[in-house]
Amino acid sequence: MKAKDLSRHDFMKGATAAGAAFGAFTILGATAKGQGKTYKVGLIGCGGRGRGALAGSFEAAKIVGVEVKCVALADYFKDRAEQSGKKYGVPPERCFGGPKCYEGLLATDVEIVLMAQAPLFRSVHLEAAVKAGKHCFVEKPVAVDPPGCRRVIAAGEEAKKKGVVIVAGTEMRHEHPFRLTHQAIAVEGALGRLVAGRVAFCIAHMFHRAPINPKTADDLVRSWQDWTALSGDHIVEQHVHNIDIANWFAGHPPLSAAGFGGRARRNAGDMFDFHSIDYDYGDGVHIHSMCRQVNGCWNWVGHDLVYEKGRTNGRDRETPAKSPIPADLPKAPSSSQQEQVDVLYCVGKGEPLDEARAVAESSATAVLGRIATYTGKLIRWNEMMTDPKKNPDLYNLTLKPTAEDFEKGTVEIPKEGVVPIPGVA
Amino acid sequence: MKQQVPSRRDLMKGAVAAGAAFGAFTILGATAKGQGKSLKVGLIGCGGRGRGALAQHLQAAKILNDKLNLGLDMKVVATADWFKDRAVATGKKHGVPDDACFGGADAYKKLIAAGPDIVLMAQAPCFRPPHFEAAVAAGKHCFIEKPIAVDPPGCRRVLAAGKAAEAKNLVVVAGTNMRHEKAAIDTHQAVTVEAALGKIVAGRAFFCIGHMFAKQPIKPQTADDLVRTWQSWIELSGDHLVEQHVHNIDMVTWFLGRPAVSAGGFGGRARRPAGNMFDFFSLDLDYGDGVFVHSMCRQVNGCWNSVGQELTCEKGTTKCTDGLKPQKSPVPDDLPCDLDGKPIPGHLQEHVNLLYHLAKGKPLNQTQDVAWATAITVMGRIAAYTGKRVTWAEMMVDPKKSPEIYDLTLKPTADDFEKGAVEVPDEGDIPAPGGATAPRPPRKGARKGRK
Repeated sequence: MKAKDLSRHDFMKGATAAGAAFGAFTILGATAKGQGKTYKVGLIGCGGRGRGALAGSFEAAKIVGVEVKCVALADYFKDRAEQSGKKYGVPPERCFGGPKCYEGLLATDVEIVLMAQAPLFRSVHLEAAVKAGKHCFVEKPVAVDPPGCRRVIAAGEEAKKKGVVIVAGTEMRHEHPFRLTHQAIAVEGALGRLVAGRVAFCIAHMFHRAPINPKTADDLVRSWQDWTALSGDHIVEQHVHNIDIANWFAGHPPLSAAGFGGRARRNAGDMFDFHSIDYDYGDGVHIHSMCRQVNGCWNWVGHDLVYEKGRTNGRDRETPAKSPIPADLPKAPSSSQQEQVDVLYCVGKGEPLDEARAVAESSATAVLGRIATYTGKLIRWNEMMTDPKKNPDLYNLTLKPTAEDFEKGTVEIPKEGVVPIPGVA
Repeated sequence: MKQQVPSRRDLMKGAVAAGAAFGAFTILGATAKGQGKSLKVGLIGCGGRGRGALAQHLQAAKILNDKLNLGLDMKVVATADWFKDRAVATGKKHGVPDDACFGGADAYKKLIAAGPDIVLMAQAPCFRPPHFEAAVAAGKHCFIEKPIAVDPPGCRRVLAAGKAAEAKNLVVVAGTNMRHEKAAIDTHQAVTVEAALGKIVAGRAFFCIGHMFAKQPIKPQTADDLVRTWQSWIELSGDHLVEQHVHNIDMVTWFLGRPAVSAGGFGGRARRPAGNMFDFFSLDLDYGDGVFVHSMCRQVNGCWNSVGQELTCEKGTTKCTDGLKPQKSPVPDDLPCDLDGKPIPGHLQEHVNLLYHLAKGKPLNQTQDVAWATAITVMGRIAAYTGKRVTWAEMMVDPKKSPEIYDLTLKPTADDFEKGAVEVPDEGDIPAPGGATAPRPPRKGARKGRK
């Protein structure tokens, strides 16, 4: 694998902007084929996914032929930030805690911010990171409600103007088999027109198995995967992966969603544990989305997209006429490393990769489905995302507690086990 | 329009088999253009649908007489219902003497013995397999409402009786009314037979409407209470997926020409206050050859409502009833399909078709069609109740693969009702898909102290 002469444009800009408070700015000696670089990386959200993303970044650096240094960490729980700090040699004063931990991290000289905090916080943190001129890797989903999704789209526009890279954790989009297949089928039209499809994330129970009985905001953040206001429900938090593939291959988000869902077996938090949705992508194309987190059921995770002349699972046709993958983009052994390779590659090239809109639209598509299953109504994209006047209740629907509530300490604890009931009595 | 002399073969056979207990078998004098026929009709299940079917049956005869001059002389000779007073009330309207209006669990046996040529069946679905079986055994032509059963053994029982009916040249028409309309038959011909839109590649079927039936808990104490509220009980109706959405599944299955291979799905009870059924389902039906159909049904107020079906084909989509013009329509030229310049609605057309085929001696046996459609909905229901993917092979074909599914019998059965061995189901006790969320097992190795 070639070590490449990566552009230092963004890197230097970031470094200049943030100053070099810690003197960690080591320029490595030029290698045979390129120049060594060290990127200052920070992580917001030091849970399992965050630690994985950070580890992935270090692996990716090796693959790309650069170096990364973790210079700051942030987590709602300071002890978690410090625990990760120990591993990466980050001093405690650069390990930030509390609901405003991201502000501390963004005020450092960090250049690339990895974000794996609870989904509720992502739109706010991403917006601030872009404002501070940081390159971002942001986990999926990027928001839990329509205003949050629009906030991320706006941040993406801002990032483009600033030349800031935003890479999203919709990891399949980064895998080469998916990119090649997408090019062959969705771009080059190898199978003709998309006509129908099914996408699914049906697995066993996840997360808490007994009621959480939260008393404080901390209790909610610690168990965020079980609360709609923090995770967006599992359709948004997990199934967004497959919905993202549907949007990507369709080339646009759906026009509307109608669906069915409920809570069969979950006994913690306030989420459903299954959703089954009819997404209308217009022009006669409907995609059946299914997700479930219940033990002992039929399980399937995947995609089945039907075209006029065949079908694809999203990754089974790696033979486009023209590859969309730059010849010098290294291939990583896993998708969680590949997405970090893409971050470093784009930052190095000074080519902003704007995935904000795509991941925001996929998150919004999942939110659209969730509102459809929670209410029983058919929910239209334009009413939820583009036209503020048609259905203001929907357009402005904001889950409480919000990220701001956490910052202000005005969190009201949701009622555990109280889930939406579609329709009316 | 050509006038044909109807074949009397089936008619006479029926009459001979059943005898002429009521002496109502009047051969009318030959009219100017045809020969009059007397047909004796009996109705099992005198609820709204049954009374409607009987009225439509009689109207159908009138249409055929008016348009084809068949001279059909219809006589209602007996009525049967679980509740005798209902049978009597309906009988009164059609001049049936009280002693030919039967009540109770074995009313159907008495009705069949009363010698009708045609039996109309609109009793609660759980009773249809034994009643249909008995009617066929007695050589009766049948109109049978959908669904024809509530569980896999019931579906197979009807399939077997259908074969027997075929061997006896009996006319069997099912109450899957949409498929009787000319627009649907022509569309089917164009799409399925002539492949005007290429291959069918995907589909959606939906019966999403507001709440139906009991709005308060029923608190049943007796078998009578259950029969009176049959629409709210799984064991009697099959759940609304089977009882109502079967219409759309029938259309899709008819167009595809094969039963679904398997079903996976989702469902629950959001708002229903009575009985023991779900009030929504959303299924992934695999019809093989890469064709998947998303089936959706709901009976909840204040939700997105839509009823219909849509098949995506290589070269376009069809709603199955959109009246695509085939190169050659399979509908006989002389079959009345319009009334006062409007298409005859399915509920009436199905009886026109029944009597037309019967009078003309043309075979028509829809048993397999309606049994397939019913069984597919039963398969979907089992999938939604359990969370499992259920296959057609294990439910309908191979007794050994999953005996618990193949032999799945809802209790109380029709037999239980006949024997007076009914246990009243627990109201509100609905299935929970999947397995319980068990407490996390203790981890191997302590997390504490780990680096």
